[in-house]
Amino acid sequence: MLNCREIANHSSDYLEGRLPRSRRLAIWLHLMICSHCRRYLNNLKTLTASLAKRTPPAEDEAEIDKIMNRIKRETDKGTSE
Amino acid sequence: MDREDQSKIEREQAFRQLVTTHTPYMRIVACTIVGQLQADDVVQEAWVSIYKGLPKFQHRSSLKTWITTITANEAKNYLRKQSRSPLLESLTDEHGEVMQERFDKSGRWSRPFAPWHTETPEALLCNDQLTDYMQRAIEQLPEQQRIALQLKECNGMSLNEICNILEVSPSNVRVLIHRARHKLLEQVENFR
Repeated sequence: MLNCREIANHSSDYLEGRLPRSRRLAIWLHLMICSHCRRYLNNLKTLTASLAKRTPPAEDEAEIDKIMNRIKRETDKGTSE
Repeated sequence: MDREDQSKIEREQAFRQLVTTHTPYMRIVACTIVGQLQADDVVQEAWVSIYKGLPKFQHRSSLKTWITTITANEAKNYLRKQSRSPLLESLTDEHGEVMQERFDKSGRWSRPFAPWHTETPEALLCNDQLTDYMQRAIEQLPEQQRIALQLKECNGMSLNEICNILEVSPSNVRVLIHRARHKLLEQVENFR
């Protein structure tokens, strides 16, 4: 039977479905009886999901203009050479 | 206006839309690798490479992955030109052991986490103070962990894609992300 420390060490692999079936089963059995580990995994899952949902701020038009102008300069340079 | 001019305008508008869509994610990658001050230059250089390479893009990966990879490579090139130290060294310790101080000798929790009864990912993100705190905690992660975490969680890259960018083994990447997540978990626990 796995202990709590071992559950923690394998938690990322477990949540991402990377463990072999036998290991997943061992973890599932442990979670049936350990509320601390259930809570810990739930917290980790929530944190990971919130990180994935973060969206970066949109670029403002001035920054987009800078990039487009940079590309234009580069392509104009290529045309004139 | 003739058809050629019209077509040129449409192409420019389409490319501008591409730039608008992808630059935010590229900026995260660039900031993570070279820092905020140099990120602008890296992003611009990346877009020049993307513009030139787009006609030859073969869809072996998604467009976002291709763009992210180009950005990361530009960032690494920037570091090399600045003679800064290599982006990452291989981890010597590939163990994913985390939070060892929270367990007793028998491997049971001696200091378990408190419950987050009402928290969902959305609820966490609605708390502006907490998201600022998390962002600062991410910025304070060790460089390798920060980069791996950002590429995985914010850019949605697979482990293999991250390996190619960071030039480390898949097991290294797994350990880096695992450790980064747990550092953040501890920080959020401290905040609450």
